[in-house]
Amino acid sequence: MTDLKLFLRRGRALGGIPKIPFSGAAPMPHPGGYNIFKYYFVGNVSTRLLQIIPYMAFDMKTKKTSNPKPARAAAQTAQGHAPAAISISKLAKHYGKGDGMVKAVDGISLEVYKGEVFALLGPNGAGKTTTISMLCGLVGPTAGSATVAGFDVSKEPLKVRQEIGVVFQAPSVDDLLTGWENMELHALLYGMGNEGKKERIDFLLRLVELDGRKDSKIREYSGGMRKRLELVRGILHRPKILFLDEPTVGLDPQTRTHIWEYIRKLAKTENTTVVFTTHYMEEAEQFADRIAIIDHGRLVATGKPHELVDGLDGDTVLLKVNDPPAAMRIIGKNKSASGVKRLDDGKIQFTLKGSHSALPGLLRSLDKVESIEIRPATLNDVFIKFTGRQIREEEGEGGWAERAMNNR
Amino acid sequence: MGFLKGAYAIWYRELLVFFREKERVISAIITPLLWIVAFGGGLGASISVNGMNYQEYIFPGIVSMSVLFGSIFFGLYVIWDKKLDFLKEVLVAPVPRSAVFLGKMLGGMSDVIVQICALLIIGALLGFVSSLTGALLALFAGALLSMCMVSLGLIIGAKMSSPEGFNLVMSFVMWPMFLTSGALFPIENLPNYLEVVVKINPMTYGVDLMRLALLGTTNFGAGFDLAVLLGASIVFMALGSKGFEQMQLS
Repeated sequence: MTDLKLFLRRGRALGGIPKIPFSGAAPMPHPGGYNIFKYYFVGNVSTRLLQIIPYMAFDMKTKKTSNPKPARAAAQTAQGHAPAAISISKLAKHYGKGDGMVKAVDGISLEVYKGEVFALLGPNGAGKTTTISMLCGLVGPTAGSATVAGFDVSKEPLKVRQEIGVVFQAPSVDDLLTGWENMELHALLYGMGNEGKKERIDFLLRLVELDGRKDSKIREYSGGMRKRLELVRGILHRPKILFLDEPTVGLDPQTRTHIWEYIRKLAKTENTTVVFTTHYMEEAEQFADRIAIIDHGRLVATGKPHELVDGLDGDTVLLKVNDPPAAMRIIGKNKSASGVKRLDDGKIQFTLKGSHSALPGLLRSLDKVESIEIRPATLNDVFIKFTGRQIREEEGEGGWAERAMNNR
Repeated sequence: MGFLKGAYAIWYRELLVFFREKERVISAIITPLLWIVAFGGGLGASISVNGMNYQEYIFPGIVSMSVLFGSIFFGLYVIWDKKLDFLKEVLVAPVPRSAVFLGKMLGGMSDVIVQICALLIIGALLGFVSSLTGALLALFAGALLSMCMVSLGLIIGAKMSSPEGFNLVMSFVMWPMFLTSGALFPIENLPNYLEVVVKINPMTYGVDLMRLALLGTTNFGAGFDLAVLLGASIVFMALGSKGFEQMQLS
């Protein structure tokens, strides 16, 4: 039982650390549905546990070596968080007029603290990119205000831009120029002096393993290489805040994992505040210190990923037992369990609050459990709770609307 | 300081791209040559202007044409920057939009000046350029015309959102400006009702200045040509800077 407890705690207790699925597949979403971790114990418990152990060790190690939180804690103020790097107040952007008016962003207020990794999570077309564009001063807000790195985006856009780095969703490197030339151009545009410039460009290119290809034209780069180049270009001028708009969209799972390794490495070595948008819940859950969920231009929820998830009724548990009616009675009496029902295949499904501590006790009171299946509550469940929809539902339509907007 | 550095950065990028896109350089030189050799040669066999060999007469006009087309096309290239999203990188940099405009304009002028040099060398080989002074003056006239026309192209490019408008710009801006400028025939030959168009067309004065440099004949005089071209350039540059400031990216 101790081992089971440890296992159940794994994902939650080490929140913010990449979760490695047991199957060995990449920890990124796949179209069919995701975050459905199926763990069967009957018959091969020992082999499963053997598989778990190395991953736990991995998690411990990552926590120690790559989590930059201790440094952040030192910078925290008496209120329990670092001072704001970005504060947004009732920010709105409307396109068009009259009946055809689209409220791309509809009055968002939030704060991003210094040194944190912050995610704007929402379906395509939710207003994430428009929000970032306003924070970078590329798009003027219709209403509201935003302060970025101490400067008002509407009043002092140039000062804001000097302090930020931006990596766009679509590649914005010049494909006729070489990797090195793109970096040099960026240095010029940000008014960097020549002193140490070459060393810094070399250092960053080495960091993302592009030093061997620095004299190749971008045309000859793969999608992942372009993205890596954009990442280091975005921090070349040592910005205080780095904006990443869908940093991993369109990349294969392996490249995604790499990109995130780089982002975390960069955030740590440069002590940069990172704000990224994504419609992949896993990315937000794994890599962000705090998340803002956005839908239809409105802020739905903000908080630390595990806090948001813990605010739900709990994880979904599926049990296969010998005597379902008896088991259902027992589960029904348990205070942490809710929504007990019997599925067509005879399994019992229920939602269990604090499952990592409640489940072992519950299992002990049941007779002969044949299999256990746990679906940990995810940000998707948070999204469903607040909007009544799956985060993915509108992807097709939203994508279209976003494209239509881009073509205006 | 940031202003000049920013403008320099943009200009530097345009130069790098220009010399890398060899197709652009080659086509920019082949088209005017076709005009001179095929059009000028074919038509010139039967006519002469003011007792002058027709090919020799239209050479300054064709150089001006290549300045006009090269410059405006360069300006319209901003649309490709928008499409390829490179413009975002530039617009999100801490560089004033007016500096971006200036860098672009200098970049376009540099491209066109390279083209003019190539054409003047070929013209000298064909016997249309008689003196080095003439060639240098022609280069100056071309640069001035280019400053005016790149700015105009950038104004249009900043407003346009898709390449579909290219043909409209060709039909309503480039061809009328070319055909009413006196590049191919003396402007006196045009119908009277076109006189206003001829007079308000900055290209007319560019062709006149170019012809003065290479052939020594002029309709309006060097001072007037210079004044009009400079004036138009200043107006277009102001409008272009404004256009860049208002340029929105979604």
